[in-house]
Amino acid sequence: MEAKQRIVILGGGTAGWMTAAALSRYLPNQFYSIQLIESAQIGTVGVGEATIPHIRQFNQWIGLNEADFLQATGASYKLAIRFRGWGKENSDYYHPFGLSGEDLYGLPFHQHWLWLQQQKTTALQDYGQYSLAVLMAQQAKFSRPVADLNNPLSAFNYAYHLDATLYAALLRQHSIAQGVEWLDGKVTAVTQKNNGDIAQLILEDGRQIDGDLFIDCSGFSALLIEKTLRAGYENWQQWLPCDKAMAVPSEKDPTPPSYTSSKAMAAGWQWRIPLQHRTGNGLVYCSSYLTDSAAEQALMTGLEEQALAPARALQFVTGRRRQSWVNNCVAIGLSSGFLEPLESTSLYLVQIAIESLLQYFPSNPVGAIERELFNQKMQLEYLRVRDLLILHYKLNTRPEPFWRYCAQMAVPDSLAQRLEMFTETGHLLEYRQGLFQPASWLALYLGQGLHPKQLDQRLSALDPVQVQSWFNRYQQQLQLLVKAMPGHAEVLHNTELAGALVEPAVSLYGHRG
Amino acid sequence: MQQPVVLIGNGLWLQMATAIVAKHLHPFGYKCIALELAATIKEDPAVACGPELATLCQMLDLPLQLVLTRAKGTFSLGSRYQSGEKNWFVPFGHYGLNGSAAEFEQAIVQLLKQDPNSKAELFSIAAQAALQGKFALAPANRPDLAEALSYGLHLHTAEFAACLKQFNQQLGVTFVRSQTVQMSYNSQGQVSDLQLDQGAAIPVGYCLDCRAEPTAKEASRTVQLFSAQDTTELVQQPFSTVVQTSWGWLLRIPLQHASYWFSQSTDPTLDLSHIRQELQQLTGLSDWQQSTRQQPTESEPWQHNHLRLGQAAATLDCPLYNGLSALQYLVIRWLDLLPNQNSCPATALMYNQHWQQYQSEVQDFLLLHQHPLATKTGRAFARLGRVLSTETDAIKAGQWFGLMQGLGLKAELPSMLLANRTETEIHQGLRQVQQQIARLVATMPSQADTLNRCLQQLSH
Repeated sequence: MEAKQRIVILGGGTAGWMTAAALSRYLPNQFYSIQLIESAQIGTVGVGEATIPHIRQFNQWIGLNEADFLQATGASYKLAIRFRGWGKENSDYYHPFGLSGEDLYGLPFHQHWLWLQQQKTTALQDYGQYSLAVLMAQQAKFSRPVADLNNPLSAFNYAYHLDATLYAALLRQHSIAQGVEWLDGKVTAVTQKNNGDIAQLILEDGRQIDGDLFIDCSGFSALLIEKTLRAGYENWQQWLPCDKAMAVPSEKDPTPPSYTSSKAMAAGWQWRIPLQHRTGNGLVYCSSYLTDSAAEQALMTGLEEQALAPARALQFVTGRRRQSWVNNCVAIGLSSGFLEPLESTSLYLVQIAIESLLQYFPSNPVGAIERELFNQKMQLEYLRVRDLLILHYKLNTRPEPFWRYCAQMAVPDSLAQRLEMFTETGHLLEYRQGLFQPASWLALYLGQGLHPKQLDQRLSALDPVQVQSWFNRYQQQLQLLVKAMPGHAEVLHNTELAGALVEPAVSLYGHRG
Repeated sequence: MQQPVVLIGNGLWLQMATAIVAKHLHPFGYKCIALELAATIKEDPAVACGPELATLCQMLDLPLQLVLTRAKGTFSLGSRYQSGEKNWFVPFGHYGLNGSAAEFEQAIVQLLKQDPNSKAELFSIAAQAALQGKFALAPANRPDLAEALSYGLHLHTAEFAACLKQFNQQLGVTFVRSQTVQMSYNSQGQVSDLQLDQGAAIPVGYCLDCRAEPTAKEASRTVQLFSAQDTTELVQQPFSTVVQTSWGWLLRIPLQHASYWFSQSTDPTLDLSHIRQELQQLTGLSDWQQSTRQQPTESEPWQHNHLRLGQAAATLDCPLYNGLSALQYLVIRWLDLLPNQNSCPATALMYNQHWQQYQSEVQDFLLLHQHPLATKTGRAFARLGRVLSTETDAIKAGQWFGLMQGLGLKAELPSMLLANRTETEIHQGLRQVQQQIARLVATMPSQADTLNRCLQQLSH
């Protein structure tokens, strides 16, 4: 009988346990053994308290029921991210999990909106007011989306705010039940074969853990992918200059909003993530412009509830590993790269890595093609997220030195071209692979005050009164839909109020997206 | 008032581009001028259009029945490939009955590996219908079937062009004829007007150039083309036929009362008499037309206000891929971005980059026909049984999968996403789909009946 292929996951944070849960769900026990090594001496960062809708698909994939998940992780629903102070000090906009408006006369909705703005029609509302997800978030309402594309409720999606430590614990329980072997131990040495493949991990107590495929979920330390295999790191700090964070939990909000808050500060930004049992808070900042003590003071002053613990500091270098898969080692999570949680993408990037690993799952020994495809896929995903994050910083007229630097910095060509194109025509070119589609880019462009120099010429043939009256009817329809929905807090305590559970849409913006 | 959009060229490509542009821009008060130049390249007598044509006809409000009648057309659910003793079907539509069914194709890959006598086409409703001479439009309440039964059309080129020209005239397009054209440029390098015969001039807002031939100074390669007409009626055949030859591939396009054969070679060292002999052996036809053309290499079609769409589309045009599809794509993409000014370099740059992506996907598909393992797509399929994600729909998912499995690429590694399913479960699932497909196909009318019904609807 052929020996089992041995998979060793190093690290037991969210990334490690998500990987273990997914692999154990798919790889048959008779052919694969999965071990996860975690050290009680090493803490986890606990990334990803705010998520994007793809997490629902992941949970469904590994067989987690939504009600059990909400209860076990203290999760709340999430429909959007609210950005305050981004672009300019008094700005306030939402990046929703949903579309805004609908195409009209064959032209995109935003072109009409920008045109009506130019015509100075008085009834025109903020761009976000034509998004169901934004209205729901603002009015603290919640309902599940539907799959029928003719129904306006198909134009949004939802995610969760969750307690990452509790989520990891739930996944651990789930994984162990599916046959994953959990080892408590600290790796002190790594042995390699002549071809560079990792052969075994040696633990502090002398145990030797042999493996065929190693998954490095060791977080920032990147013990296997970098310290052993020297994959190299692309540093993106020139575009994303924040390098430190401070996190602190505070008391729960009795009526938690269904959005993540992101508030721009003098040299960074502050997050607020409302869970059922507590609120997660943190400040991401640039240490060249703000001292640690000033950061701590800003964070604590900005809390809306009583702090539950002292602030925890974190240091990071934004960027990504040049290769996430080297030899027989695949890096997933922070060992693969770090992008600040401004768009809640941490768990998404973990999820995409796991999905790709399963799609390109290797034999023993590993083949070059699966490694190449995986690395390309992950590179693209990181780059696409990176560009949208940089956009948040680049588009601003704030006066503080940190923001002045960001406004003036050169940006990667991929972003510069995209920005320039929107400025020229107000049009966007979508891509298929990668996360953010035009709806997200538009939320940011318009939210942070970037307006095109010219609009589509076809608009000048239209009657603004007619278009505005269509806008009014559309907005009223959305308001009526939202009014009929139950409150978010109410739904959290009575999940069946949220409507029928439908298959999660693959898109960030719902079934219509 | 906006300067007119001027389309230059001749034949089907000019008429198609004009129809799309005029239909979109007329309601907004744009003036469209089609400048018809004398043809320097003879168009192929028949054209095989992909599923994008049906969508386009809908967009244009151009009844399919009219197109089929005027252009003596037939339906196409894909292509039947023949290589020696082997044959297989490459459908436009997806395999199975649910396009989003995870790992369905991997289940087929697994079955084919275990049972070499099985065939992927058993799990394609398009293939099953086509091979039985059947064709039906999916009912409006079955969008799932509509995707699985995605269809294109085989059309008579000149008749289709005439049909579109009439459509364009009804839309109010101004047609101008000239033997020659000279472009005048302003100081920013933009085309300001077109100088025609006898000193006439047309002012230009945007110039959409549908001419396929490269100018003398542009890079190109020489292609030998072979074509022949066959009078055999193939109305029971809602698909084209693709036959492997010693130099490449041979395509047969069936129309209502005849069919046409096409092949091409780019290898200058090949003995043409040998090619003709092989063509005769394969088809039984002796009357083969031979011609030569220069194939351009345009990869940046949008320059200032001049879009060399014809040259770009011509880079891909060959019997295995119809350049008309590329042209349609280029025009529609441009309309999506319709700029308000003549110069918008960032928009042009992004458009050109996107076109290069499209081009590279088609070239990859074409290269697969010759050297499957020379492409990353082929190597990925041979290792993992997966079709790589694409940025465009230049080639449909069913076509990638159908071609690669048909070429004999077999996945080395099994799908791990199916690893927790037993062989029996997978085979049962596949059998159920196969039975459902067989039941659906049994109730479908023949292509001949569907065509007759379509043509009758028009006469009423």
